[in-house]
Amino acid sequence: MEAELNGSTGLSISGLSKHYGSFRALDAIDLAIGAGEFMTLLGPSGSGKTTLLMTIAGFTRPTKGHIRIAGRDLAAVPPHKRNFGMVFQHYSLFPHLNVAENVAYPLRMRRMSRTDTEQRVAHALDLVQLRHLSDQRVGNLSGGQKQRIALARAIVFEPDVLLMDEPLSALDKNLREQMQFEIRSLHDRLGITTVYVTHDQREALTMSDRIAVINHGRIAQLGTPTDLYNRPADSFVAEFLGESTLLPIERSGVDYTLSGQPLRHDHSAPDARYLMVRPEKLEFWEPGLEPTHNRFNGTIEQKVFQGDSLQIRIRLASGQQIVMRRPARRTVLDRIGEGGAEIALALHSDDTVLVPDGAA
Amino acid sequence: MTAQSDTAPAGNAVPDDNTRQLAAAGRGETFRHFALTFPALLLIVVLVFGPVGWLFWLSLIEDGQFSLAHYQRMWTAAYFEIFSQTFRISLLVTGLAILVGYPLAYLMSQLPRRIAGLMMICVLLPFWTSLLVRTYAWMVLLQRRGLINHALIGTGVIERPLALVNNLTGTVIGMLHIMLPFMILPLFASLRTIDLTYMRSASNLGASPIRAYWTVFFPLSLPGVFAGAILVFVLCLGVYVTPALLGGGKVVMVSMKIQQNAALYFDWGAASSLGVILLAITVVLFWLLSRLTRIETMFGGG
Repeated sequence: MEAELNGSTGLSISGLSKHYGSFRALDAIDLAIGAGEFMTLLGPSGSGKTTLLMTIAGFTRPTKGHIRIAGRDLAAVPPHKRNFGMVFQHYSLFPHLNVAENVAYPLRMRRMSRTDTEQRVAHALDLVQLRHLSDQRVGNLSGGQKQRIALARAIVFEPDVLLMDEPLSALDKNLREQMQFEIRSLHDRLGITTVYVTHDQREALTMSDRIAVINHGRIAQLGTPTDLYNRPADSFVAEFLGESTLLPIERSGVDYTLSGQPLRHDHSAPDARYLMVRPEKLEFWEPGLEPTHNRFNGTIEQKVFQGDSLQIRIRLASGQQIVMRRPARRTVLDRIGEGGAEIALALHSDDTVLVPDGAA
Repeated sequence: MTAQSDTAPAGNAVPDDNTRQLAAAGRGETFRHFALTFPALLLIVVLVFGPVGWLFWLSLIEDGQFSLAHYQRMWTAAYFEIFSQTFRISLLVTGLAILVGYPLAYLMSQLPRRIAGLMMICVLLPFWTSLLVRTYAWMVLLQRRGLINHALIGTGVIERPLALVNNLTGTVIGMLHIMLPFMILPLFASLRTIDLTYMRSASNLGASPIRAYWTVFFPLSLPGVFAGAILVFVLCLGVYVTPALLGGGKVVMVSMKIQQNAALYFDWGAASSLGVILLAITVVLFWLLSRLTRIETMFGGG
């Protein structure tokens, strides 16, 4: 099974559009998903990420464009002939079949022999560690178990691509985090090309090889989690992915200034409008940081204890507010004064990210 | 106990213990809620259990004496034939109602809510006209020189008029017309609740639309079919007007025998015993129905 799946193929989407009247749910999407890649479609609700997934699955007919797999165009192929596995948001396990019958369903549709079916079902259930539930009715399962069975059913027939539509959104937080690692490790073992839809940025960062941030039916940015987090393409991605403070900046000649203070930055940024500051990248100013860091002076407005960390809101001398996050550690607590105390912050030039305006 | 003593001195535990009062308050609340149903409960006892008990009592009385004679009399071929015919007709009408009602209910369940609502009004429209009027209308349509025979002969499909009324055919057609809404209503309600994601899921897993229907949608719709079928079947058992008017005396159902006993022979005991047997069968069938609806809720749990 694994050897075959390792030969999994990539998926190539080009010029894919879906129009509803004048509304463009998908606007000429180009996306190449590599063989065995874990690609996440991330975006706010109504961004088009689910429409894109449903179009790949074949449930939504595109207005124009191509979906190719191994050179074959699937845009007009009905869903049951695409050989894509899908895990639905609410699992969609068949209530009239038991666990093993659910997992065997795609094999039954492919008229596989009885012995092969039994073997594959057992193997798929082993992969999700639920073989002991084979004879259970699906109504008796917990949310996490249903999720795993749905996953087993979606991979048992060795699909070319595995599609997942916010599969963890109905689970509670702890289980969700556990399932994130389980799905990812299953993906790594099977090497199956995966397209995963979520609106949870943390989930996207945790699981993906690459993330496509979708907004207004277009790809706002495509890249690895590190790329997206550290080098967002615009203010939309910066705000959508992770915590950030955006401070308006001015252009002066070839460089940028924040309230008149020139900014030291390592990365070229044409048309930048904002300085993006990630709270955890801010440090306490130390003498000797001048060559590599920008310095910001301000006063502490508020300190919020959040268990593992301390969130500190600081009013800069220029009047703008900035948020800093530090581990709630003795040495840190000792350095932070009460509200109204003066504070000097340092931001490394590599962490000084200047972004253009992105339509929210 | 040691944990409690941390927060409250041990001496306070007894006067503060209000377990008993809280339990009493809970019982009082349950009783008051239950009391709201008393008027309805009283009505059911007086209007349902009273008459049924009386009926049962009458069926055991012959010439003022306690006797099982009414039931013994039914142990004959003639009565067997009447019961058997009643069940055969009911079964036939139920089967036809499924065949005719299912496609319509399925179509309605897949249409937008507004259009489905309009179709539902069409299904229910015959309900608003009198049963007697509808039955006579069928007589007009089905008779030898009626509209249907006239049209069939006129178009050359047949040469001699078909015997469509005053027999089993007429009875079944008339009953089917009356029973169809009782099949469509529960079936439509049941089909409507089937999540179409199941069909998408089946399609994604490799099922063609037809296979997806037979392997997923149809099995999930069975509880609705059973509900409609049992409802129609039970109603068919008691139908009187339609077989009496459209059967032309060739079709004798239990209800007609009851009418005969009561109105013609004034034998209330015999009529009652037939009623009791019919009721017993109905109760068994509703018990089966309740078992099947439990299966339905089990399905819904998925």
